[in-house]
Amino acid sequence: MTTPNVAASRRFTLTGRTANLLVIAVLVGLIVVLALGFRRDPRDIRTAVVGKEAPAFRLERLEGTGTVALEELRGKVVVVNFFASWCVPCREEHPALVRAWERYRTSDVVLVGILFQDSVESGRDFVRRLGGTWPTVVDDRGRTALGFGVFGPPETFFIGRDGVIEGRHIGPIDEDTLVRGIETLRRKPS
Amino acid sequence: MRRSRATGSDGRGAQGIGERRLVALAALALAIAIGFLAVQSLAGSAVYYLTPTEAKERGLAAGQTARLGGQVEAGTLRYEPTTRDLRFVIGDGVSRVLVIGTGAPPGLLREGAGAVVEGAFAADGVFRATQVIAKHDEVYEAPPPGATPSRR
Amino acid sequence: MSIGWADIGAGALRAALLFALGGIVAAAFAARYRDVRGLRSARWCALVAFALVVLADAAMIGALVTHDFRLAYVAGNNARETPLFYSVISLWAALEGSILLWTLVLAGATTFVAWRGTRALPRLATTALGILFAMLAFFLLLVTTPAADPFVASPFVPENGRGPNPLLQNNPLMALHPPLLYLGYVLFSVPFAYAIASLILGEGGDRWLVATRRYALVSWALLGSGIVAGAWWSYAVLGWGGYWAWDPVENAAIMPWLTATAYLHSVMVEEKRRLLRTWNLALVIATFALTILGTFLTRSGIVNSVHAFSLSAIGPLLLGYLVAILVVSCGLMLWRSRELADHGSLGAPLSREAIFLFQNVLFVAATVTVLLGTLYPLIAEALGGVQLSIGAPYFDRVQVPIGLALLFLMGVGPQLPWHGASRATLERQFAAPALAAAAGAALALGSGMRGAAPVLTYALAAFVAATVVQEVVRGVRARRVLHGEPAAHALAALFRRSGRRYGGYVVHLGIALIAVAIAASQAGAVEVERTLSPGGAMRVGQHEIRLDALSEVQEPQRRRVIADLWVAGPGGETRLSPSFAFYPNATQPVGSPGISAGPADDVYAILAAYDARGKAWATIRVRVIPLVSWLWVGGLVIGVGAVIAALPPPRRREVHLPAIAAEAAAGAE
Repeated sequence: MTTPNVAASRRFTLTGRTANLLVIAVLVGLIVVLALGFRRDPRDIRTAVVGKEAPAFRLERLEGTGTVALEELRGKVVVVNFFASWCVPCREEHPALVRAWERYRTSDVVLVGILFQDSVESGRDFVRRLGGTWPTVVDDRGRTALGFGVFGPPETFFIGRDGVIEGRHIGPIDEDTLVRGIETLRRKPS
Repeated sequence: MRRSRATGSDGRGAQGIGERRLVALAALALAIAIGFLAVQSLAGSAVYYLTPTEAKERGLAAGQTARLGGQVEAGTLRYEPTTRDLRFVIGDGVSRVLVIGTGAPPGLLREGAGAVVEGAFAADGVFRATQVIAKHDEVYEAPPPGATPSRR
Repeated sequence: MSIGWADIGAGALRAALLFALGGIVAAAFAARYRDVRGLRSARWCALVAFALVVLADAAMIGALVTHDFRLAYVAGNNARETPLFYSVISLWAALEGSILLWTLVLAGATTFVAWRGTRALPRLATTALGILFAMLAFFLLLVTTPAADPFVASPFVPENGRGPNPLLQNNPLMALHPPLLYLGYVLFSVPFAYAIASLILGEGGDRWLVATRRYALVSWALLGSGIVAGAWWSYAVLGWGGYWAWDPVENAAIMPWLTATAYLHSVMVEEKRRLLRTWNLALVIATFALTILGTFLTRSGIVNSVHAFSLSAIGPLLLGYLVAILVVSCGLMLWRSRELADHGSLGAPLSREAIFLFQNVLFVAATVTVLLGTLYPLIAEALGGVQLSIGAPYFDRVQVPIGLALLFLMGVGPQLPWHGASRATLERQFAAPALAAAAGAALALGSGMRGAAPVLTYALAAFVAATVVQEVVRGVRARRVLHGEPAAHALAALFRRSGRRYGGYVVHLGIALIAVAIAASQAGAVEVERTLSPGGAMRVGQHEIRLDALSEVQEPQRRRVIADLWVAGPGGETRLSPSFAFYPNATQPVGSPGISAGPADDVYAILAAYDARGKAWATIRVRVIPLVSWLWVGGLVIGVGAVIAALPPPRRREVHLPAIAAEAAAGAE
């Protein structure tokens, strides 16, 4: 007498074979979709600034007085490096920046360090302790970083003589990458 | 013993098998109805991310909700405090769209920065924004000219 | 050099991992050979591991409070200016710390089960204990791998740290809501471990379910309070005038709560009718898997959320954990499917068990549809390569009808007897509540509500409240007849002796309250935005708002721009100060609303824009939101009801006797 009822309720207790297969298929699909999600790197989109004109900035110097403006550096190859004193990888990449700067400081290449989301005192302390004589400036409440689409420091941008961003490096940079980036831009006719 | 209790040792159990199957069928119908509602609402509430170029190419119908991602073009941002009239041009390097909204712009909406606006095109080709999203532009950057925003 | 916080913490975690692994072996040994020495070792393993994790958490708090920037976590989430309170709660401000807190709660639950749970049902409990140890070992492994190691040293010591996320150091509610959610998430590991243990041992019965009923209830209540506290935080901090946005992080919290609610009800069907065994197991597994899925979704960065946590290598590890859980659970269920078959069938359409079935279908449908909406952008991108987002309209359109149907069933279910109801029963049970529903609808229309959903919500909430009052009145009357007690005494006895039942009714009242608060605040809110000069005024509903001044204040850790507002309304006058806060280490300013809360409505003021140069004008947005305070009160009522339901009845363990007596007496009227 109860048999048909059991059959009917089985649809909900998931004991039927089709129901089992269905549940397993859905779960596998779910996992696949989640795993595919890893392909999405939210950082990808930010490379969209490459090939565009670099956002203009005029920022106060970290040490001393005066400002540095991007438009005054037209005609030179500019490397813009966003850093912060609280940022661990910035510390790691710093020696590479020092070496690259020693190599190019007398040429037509300018390195500009932009202090990102940090207090001026901490930034000054960072530069004094680690060395580095390239111009460093303080971002105006993160506005320049926003224009460049900075995800988080350190980030390095390569800007050509025409003011167009030609390359971008997210994360700590090494000397090789710096030299390669700079040389590509130097060879490029403007 | 349980079986006999379940099938109704009391008078109410005699209501029959048909009525009991009704429970299972009703539950199934309920689930199907909700599934139907969900699929239908899903299609209606999906908001596509488009660049201004894509929006023009697709010929997005007037009134259809979409999100436009691009850059606020230099010299176009106007906010009139008294009327709270907000207007700016959003562009992707190829196409430009005039956006009109009402209300104060989010804290960091500014010229040259990326922005996402949600709203719909009016018949005159102006994009009426219901929402201007710039507060997360730390994470959002305008797509390059003509590119498909395949990632976000 | 002396030993630092990092050495203490990292050392403690590694030692705890050894004890957790030892615990797996000891518990397995104890369960296999029923050996009391094994159990004793397992107990001590649990206690020592717990003590070590406490030490690790304490070391992290110590490092945060002393601003020890030698730790990367402290350097990234703390600054010298951070006040003590926010330094302490920075423990759960970012990924690594949250996992540390999670591990602490899990170690605590494992220890509790080891010492208290294994007294009854030793074999089942010991097997469950082994599973808990395995889960603990996974999390300890996580916090000792570089992916989520909270004690990673910073390669250099910065002068000052970055400080916590501004949104998180803006309001003390942040202290409350993540730990509540974590407690809820983690405590559900216990019912899950028992369920798996019961499957491993091949126990066909429902002993695992009875043994973990209270864990499930407490976990559910904590999860619920965490969700309400999160909504409150969103309302009081984020300054958009709402409390729920169907954000992936919110969805991640509500999904396990929905399945847990379904489970708490379908458990009763299994206890009373020995039905729905597979279903209950599936619900426990689903709830647990959803807690992990939620953590994965919000912490791996694969879905976009306003909560934007950092991208982390922890994602693949959590996904692997989720896959392992699903494979083991589904495999065991298939293997034991014979033992799980139900004997018997559900009753008539108008029986309590049928209502429970409908209710379960609705709750699961709500979960599945929320999951679908949350993951749909991922699915669409994987299948079609298109980019889209699913906004709140989808969720509202689907969840509102489900919610209304559930509200209806919440009133109907407890009024129906098991097996089926006669016509006379129906009339007796539903005459008064139906009248109340009509009154509720009239009240809604009278107070200016329009639209089917809000009016229906008022009617159904009144319906539910009436059924609860009717039940309590009948119970009291029955006790007075049976025991000759005075009314107040009978009422107290009712709640103390049949706490599960009457506590449940209190929870239902809380839900009804929340439903009304949601309906009123969604349908009845009025918003006006005006640009005012100092001295200028605006009118919203019955409230008059005047901008007195726009000022700027420098605080140690931030700079604030504050609009000084004077508000007058039916409830008297008050001052509000919505503001913008600028933190030195953050690009975006953080807006804080000014809220004047009242029983009839909240005045919610936001500083939308201001004149940065001359402070000559400010754009002020004011929302008058009716009854929204009752949402938090409803959350509190649910908490009280859950406590009543979870408290063990005095002395005798017969929970159902008085309830049955009361029911019999009520039925005999």
